[in-house]
Amino acid sequence: MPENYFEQFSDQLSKKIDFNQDQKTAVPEGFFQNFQNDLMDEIESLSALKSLGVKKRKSPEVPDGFFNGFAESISYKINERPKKGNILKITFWSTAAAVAAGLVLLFTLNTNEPETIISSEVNEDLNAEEEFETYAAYVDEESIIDYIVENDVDLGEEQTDDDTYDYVNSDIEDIYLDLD
Amino acid sequence: MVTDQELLSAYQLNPESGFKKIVETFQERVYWQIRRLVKNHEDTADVMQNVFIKVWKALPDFRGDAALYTWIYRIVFNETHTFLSKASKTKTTDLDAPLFENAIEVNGKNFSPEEIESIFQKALDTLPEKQRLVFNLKYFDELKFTEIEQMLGTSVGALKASYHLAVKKIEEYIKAC
Repeated sequence: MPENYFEQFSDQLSKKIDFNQDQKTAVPEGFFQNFQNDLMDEIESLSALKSLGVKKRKSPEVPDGFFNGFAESISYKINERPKKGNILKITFWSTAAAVAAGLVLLFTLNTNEPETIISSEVNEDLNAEEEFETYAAYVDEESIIDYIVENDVDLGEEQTDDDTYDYVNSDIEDIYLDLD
Repeated sequence: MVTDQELLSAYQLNPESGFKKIVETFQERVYWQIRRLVKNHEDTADVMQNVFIKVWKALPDFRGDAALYTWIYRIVFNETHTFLSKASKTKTTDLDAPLFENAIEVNGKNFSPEEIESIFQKALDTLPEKQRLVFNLKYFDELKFTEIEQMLGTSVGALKASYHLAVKKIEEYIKAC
């Protein structure tokens, strides 16, 4: 047995045990008061709709990192969009072009030669700017889409509803956002 | 959780970085609100982008009459329903599985998970906006009432009442089908 073993034992034991009351693990303020309420709320909400016997399914997957990059990408998008000050001119011409396309789609695309008609109508109708502007005040994205979809307007070969949306949205979406 | 006041102060100080904080704070809530209805990731991401572009455009006019998330939720609701009205005319593939995993029998009638979900969504649409929002945050997002209180600035007691009413109305709606 080492010399003075018993004399030193209590000192060595004290060093291994933390008697310092100030270093107790901290508990958030009000934790114990709220714990019971939270637990009862949780039990109650879990039983919601249980009387019907429905069980919630687990949430579907979200691609990895989607939420990490979203805020950055939306900030980029809003910076990318034109500022209000220089929108007017762009909006007019974009609207005119989109409305021209819309008008052509509405009134002429159900013939059998859509491509030639689109280009000739837009090029020849240079004096129709005022007419377009007036029409643009009334036309909106949805009514053009609705018209095309509901009347099965033929936009070309192997036309699907998705193609229609892509075609019309590609031209009109930005203008729609700027006008409203 | 960051408060509305902190977010709005950050926005007033620097609109772009403040807006980014708003997006970071609410993006997951917004995402799931949309995805439960739109039912696939790609469309959800598109709708969510439109929502936040509208939020950005409308933020200068936000007067703080309601909590920030209540206001954003209204935009989410409108954008999602606009999308769905267009999407109903197009073919959609690769939809998420139904929100519920089992079939049930109500008043002697059997309902598949898809049918329950459809009835359930209609029932949700009949609720006042606040009840619908509270129900979604509690039932699906599984937030604590104290967290919803911080988010919406409504007392826990009022939230519990809203939630309880919403559950009752939904149960009654489903039982009446």
